[in-house]
Amino acid sequence: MSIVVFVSNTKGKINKAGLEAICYAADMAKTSGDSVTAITAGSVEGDGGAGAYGASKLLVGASVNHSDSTQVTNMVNAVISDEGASMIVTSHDNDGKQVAPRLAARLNCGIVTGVTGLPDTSAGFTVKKNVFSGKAIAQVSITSDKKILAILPNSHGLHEHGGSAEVSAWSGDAGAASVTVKEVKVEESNVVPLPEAELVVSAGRGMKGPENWGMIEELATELGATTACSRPVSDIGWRPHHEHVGQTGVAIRPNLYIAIGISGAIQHLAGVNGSKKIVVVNTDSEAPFFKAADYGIVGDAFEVVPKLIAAAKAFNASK
Amino acid sequence: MIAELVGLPYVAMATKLDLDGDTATIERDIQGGSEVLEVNGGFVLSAAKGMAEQRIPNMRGIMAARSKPLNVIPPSGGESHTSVVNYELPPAKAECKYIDAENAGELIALLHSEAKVI
Repeated sequence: MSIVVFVSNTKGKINKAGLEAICYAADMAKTSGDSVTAITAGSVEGDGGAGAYGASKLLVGASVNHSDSTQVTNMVNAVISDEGASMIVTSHDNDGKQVAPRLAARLNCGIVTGVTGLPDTSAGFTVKKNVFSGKAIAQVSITSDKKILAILPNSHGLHEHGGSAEVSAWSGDAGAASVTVKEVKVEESNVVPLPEAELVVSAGRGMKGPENWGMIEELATELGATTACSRPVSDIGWRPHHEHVGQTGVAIRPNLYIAIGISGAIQHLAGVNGSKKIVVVNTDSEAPFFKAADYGIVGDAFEVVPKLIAAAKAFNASK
Repeated sequence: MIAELVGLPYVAMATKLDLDGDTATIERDIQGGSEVLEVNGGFVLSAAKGMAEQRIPNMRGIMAARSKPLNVIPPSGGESHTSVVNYELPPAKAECKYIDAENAGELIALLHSEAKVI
């Protein structure tokens, strides 16, 4: 039997969140003896990296629009029945969010979104997910034969399984288009998108104004990190909305999160408390963020950040 | 799920919506950027932050809402395929390690040698 994984792609490459979903499925397949079949809409170069992370097959639906949840659901559903699969994995990203619940309704089966760990099959089938803004972990059991898991990005991590996937075109009928894409705006930059970033430098109202963001960007560049911000900063328009991390913005789980001039309100923590290491720089030693931090610096960002930049430069030079 | 059950197109996490007669133009964030979509006829949409300004109800509206009839509709059909077995607390965070602001640069070394994240 196979585990079917739906992944999305950008510019011919499978997104990191998708590769992580493949990796998750491959780790599951190791114990169950299944194989992993990945499926994507549009076009990818070669196997798009699917093989290296554990897929043995990659199906590409060239005529399917990845933004059309109806078409994608039809395609994935057809593959599930062709493969006789009972386990379906997607990433819990914007594309996965369009497809996974639709599929659950179509198949009349159980779904868990935002999964953070491999399933426990010692008694039934249970997976873990974060609930109450990351303040607790719930163990959820699925009882239907078919099961859908949407994996929280950056929660499983990537490791190579070494292999290559047999690529073939998916030639089934995905049905009429229900959505047309008018325009795609992808920013040309070398910066890793925020949900996938492993290193993030974030700043808040403590920066006093958008004109002071230069040093934040410089520190991020030196560390090879992506920049982010707190909600008030994006609300008053100092930074774009897509940089806002928190409960209502992007939820991230980088390896390193550096928060500068952010007090650490519970709504902000909800979006970042999955980070592996947290560094907090704040003038107020009573800022609640220090309770969630691994490293803290009590001091003025305008004095501390230049020191960090200098140290990062020296560190890069010594590498 | 609602979209699938009623058989309509679905767009997730929209950041902008413009309606012109029967045609809707929707903007949505994708990997590393955004895209503009067009949908004709009915559809289901989930909204991301930034799509609209919140409107705070005025006192008159709040009072008027109190006298509106409240229809409670019982759920129908459908079996549940998932259930929460138990809840647990995330592992406790270790103490925060403070670094003197004067020697802030030490942090970079610690992140490399101790935390091993850079």
